[in-house]
Amino acid sequence: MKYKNFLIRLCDLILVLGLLAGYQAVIYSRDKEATIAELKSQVNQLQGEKEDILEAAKNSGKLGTDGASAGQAGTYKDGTYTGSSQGFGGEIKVKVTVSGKKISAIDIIEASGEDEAYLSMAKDIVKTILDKQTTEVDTISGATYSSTGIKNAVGQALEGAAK
Amino acid sequence: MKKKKKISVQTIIEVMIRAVFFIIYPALFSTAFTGIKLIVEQITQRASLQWNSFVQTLVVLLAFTIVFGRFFCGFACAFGTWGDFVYFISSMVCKKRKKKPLKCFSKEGKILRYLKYVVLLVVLLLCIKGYSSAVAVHSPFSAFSRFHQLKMADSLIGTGLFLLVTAGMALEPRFFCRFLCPMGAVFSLMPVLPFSVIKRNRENCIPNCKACNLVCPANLEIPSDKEGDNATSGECFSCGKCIGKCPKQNTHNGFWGKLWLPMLVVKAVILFVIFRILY
Repeated sequence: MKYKNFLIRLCDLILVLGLLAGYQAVIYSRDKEATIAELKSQVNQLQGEKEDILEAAKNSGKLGTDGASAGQAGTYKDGTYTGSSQGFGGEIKVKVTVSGKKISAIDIIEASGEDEAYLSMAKDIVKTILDKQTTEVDTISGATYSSTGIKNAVGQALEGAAK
Repeated sequence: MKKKKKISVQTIIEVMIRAVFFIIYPALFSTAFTGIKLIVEQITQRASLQWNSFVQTLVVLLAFTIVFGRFFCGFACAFGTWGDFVYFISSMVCKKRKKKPLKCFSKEGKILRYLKYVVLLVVLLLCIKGYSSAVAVHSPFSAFSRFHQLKMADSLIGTGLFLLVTAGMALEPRFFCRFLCPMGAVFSLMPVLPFSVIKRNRENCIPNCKACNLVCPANLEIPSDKEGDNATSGECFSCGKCIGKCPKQNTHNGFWGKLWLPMLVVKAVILFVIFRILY
């Protein structure tokens, strides 16, 4: 056979290149699997951490805004507290009574700047606050400023009552 | 009356090609071999094979050898050129003493040529076992590259080995290349394309001539046209001495025949340009 040695060497070379390519492919897929396993464990770990955070958030209760921060649906120290806040025309002062760790009574001691009509509408918010045991309640439409004033005043009073 | 020796154009061109590669790209051998070491280390560590400049040089030289034969060994390897230079000095000295150039190991050459595969395996084994940096520091080639930069070598062992190799190169043509070079071992296993294999038209030979075989530095039997190549074709590093020597211009290089010298220049230019582009 002419060029016998060339042909033998050619076959050997092709064999060696094939082995190297096969090796490379095996290592490549093995590396891919290792990356996938690592990412999976990372995802599991992050999911666990997320659940932990959510648990902790639920337990510590919600944080309120604009002065009603103490009006959380939680427990309060027994006693009477006063608070005030800006209503429609002036300051609204309230007296909040806590007994049995609950808001038991809300009295409006001063609301001289409020219009009688609006004030009587806004007083409905007192009932809602007592029902829900929180100042995180909707304002009365038609008496927004007055009801907001009452709400914030109660919230300020409860700042002293928050446990 | 002194005979004036004409230096042929061929010899001048050959010397110039070797000089250019010696001066400008002396580290090709070492770079390519480092590529082999890296691949072997990556496999033993079950890491994925990486492409880098060492592997790139290795692939370029292997591909060039497949297409053009072991031109690199014959003309572009700095170590080979050093060996040629040393042997030239040694033959000049012998000539002055009216003796023939030394060929101390030519008979043992048939077996000694297998030693380079042993050297290759031993070096790779040492690298697998983690002695890669020790091998690099103490190798005769490291010492050679330091001397090439006109500096002192780092290692006494390396210097000693280099001196031993140089002595060998003076006693037998291409001593290191044929018997000890691990890179040469790899090149000799490459499937050189038929048109780059040097062969001869046996029918045309003068009976009992053997001129080509005697002038060959590697002491090779040139294959006949009929067989195309033979078992020792891997040893041929395309120096072209046989082509120059044949009284009947029988030896030839495939269809390039008498274009040996121009083809030599073409090969040199192609290899030089490739490395110019890459680096």
